[in-house]
Amino acid sequence: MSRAALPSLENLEDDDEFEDFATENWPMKDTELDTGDDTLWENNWDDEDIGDDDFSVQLQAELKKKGVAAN
Amino acid sequence: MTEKARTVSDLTISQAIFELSSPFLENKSQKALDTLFSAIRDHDLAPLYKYLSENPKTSASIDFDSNFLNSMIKKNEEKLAEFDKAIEDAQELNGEHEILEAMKNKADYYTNICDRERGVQLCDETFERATLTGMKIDVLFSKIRLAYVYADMRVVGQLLEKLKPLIEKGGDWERKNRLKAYQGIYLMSIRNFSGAADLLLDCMSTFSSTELLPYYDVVRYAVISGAISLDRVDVKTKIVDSPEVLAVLPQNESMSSLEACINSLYLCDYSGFFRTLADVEVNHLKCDQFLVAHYRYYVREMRRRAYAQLLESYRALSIDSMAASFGVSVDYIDRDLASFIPDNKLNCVIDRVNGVVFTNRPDEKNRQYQEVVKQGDVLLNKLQKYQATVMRGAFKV
Repeated sequence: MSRAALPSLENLEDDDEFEDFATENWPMKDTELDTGDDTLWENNWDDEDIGDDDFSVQLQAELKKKGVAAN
Repeated sequence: MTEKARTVSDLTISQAIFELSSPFLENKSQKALDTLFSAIRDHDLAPLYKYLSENPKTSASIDFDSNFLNSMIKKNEEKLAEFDKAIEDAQELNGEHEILEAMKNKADYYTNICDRERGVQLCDETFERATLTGMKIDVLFSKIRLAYVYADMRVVGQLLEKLKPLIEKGGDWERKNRLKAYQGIYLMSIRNFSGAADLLLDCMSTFSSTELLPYYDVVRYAVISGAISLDRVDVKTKIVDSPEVLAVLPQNESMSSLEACINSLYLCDYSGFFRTLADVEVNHLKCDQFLVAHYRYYVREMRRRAYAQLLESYRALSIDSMAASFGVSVDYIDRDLASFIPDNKLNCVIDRVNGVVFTNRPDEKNRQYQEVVKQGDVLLNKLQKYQATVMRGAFKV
C-alpha cells in the first residue's frame, strides 16, 4: 500500500482515543475503601427489613390486631 | 497410639460459647454452661477453660478455679509427653511416615483439647514436612476444626481455599465427603445458602463428620439452607420427601416449627407459614451462631418467596383475599409488598384504590432482545474504535 493512502484513512478515525491500559496487579483489598465492614458476605440494604421490629414481633402485633377486630 | 476422641462436636462447643457470650440469649446461658463444663471435665479441655475465663464476654459466667485448671493442665501434659515419646520412638526405629503419623496424632490431641495456639503450630509443621497429599489434607482438616471451635470464620474460609485443590488432587471418597460438610457450613455462614444447600443436602446420606457437628444439626442446616434457595419442585424432592429429613425432623420436638414452616409453604397454607416462620426466626435463626447475622435477610426472602408463589397463579388478586390468605391485615400486605416491588423482587403492581394486586410478568423474549441490542451496540462501538487504532498503528510503522 502506498503512503498516499494515509490522509483518507485519518478521516475514518474516531475522535476518541482507544488505548489499552496496562493491567495493574493490585491486591483486592487495596482497591476497596476501608468501610469498617468486616463481613464475609455482600451486604445489601434492599435485602434487609426496613422496620425496626423483627418479623415475629410484627406478626404478633398483626395477630393481636386481628383478634381485636374479630371480637 | 490414638487418644479417645472428644465426643462433644466442635460446633456444639462454639454454639455454647456463642450462647454464653450473647446477652440476648440469657435464657440459654445455663444450658450452655452445662454443655461446656461437661465437655471440659470429660476431656480435660484446659485451653478451653482458660479461654472462657479470660474472654471478657464469658468470664463473668465462669467461677474461675485455678486448681481445677492446673489439674487439667497436668493431665494434658502427661498425655502430651506420651505423644512426644511416640514421636521419638518413631524417629529412632521407623521411617518418615511413622514420624509424621505420630506428629499428626499429637496435633489431633491438641485439636481434641481445643488448644488452638499449639495445635495450629504443630499442624503447620506437619503440613510442611508431609509429602503425601492425604496427610496434608488431614492436617488441614485438624486446623479447620481449631478455627471452627473458636468460630473464626475468616480463617476457616482461607483454610478451605487451601484445602480444595488438595482434595481435587488426591482426596479419597471419604475426605471429599468430609469437605462437603466443612464447606457447606462455611458457605451457610457467609449467606451463600444455595451453595450450602447443594453440599449439605448431598452429604446427609453419607455424613460421618460428627467431630464437627452432630447429625441432626447437619440435617437442620441443610433444610434451612435448602428452604430459601431451592425451587418448589426441588423443595419437594430434596426436603419434604427426603428420607434423611423425614428421619430427623419429626423425631425432634425442637424442629417441629421448621418442619411445619417448610410443609405449609409447600402446601400453600400461607397463614400457617407466617406463624411458623415467626417461630423459626426466634428458635432457629436468632439463636444460632451462624444464622443470627442473616435472620432478617432470611425471613424477608422467605416472605418474598411465599408472595411470589401465591401471585404466580393469578393475573390479578384482591389485597383483601391476599391478606386473608396470610392471616394479616391489608395494611401489612400493602406495606410489605411495596417494599419488594421497586427493585423487581416481585413482579406486580398494587392498585390501592381498587384494592387489587396486578401481576406483570416480564416478557422474557422481549427482555433478551433489548439486552442483545444494547450489548451489541456497545460491542460495535468498541470494535470500531479498536479498528481505527490498529490501522493507524499499522501505517505509522
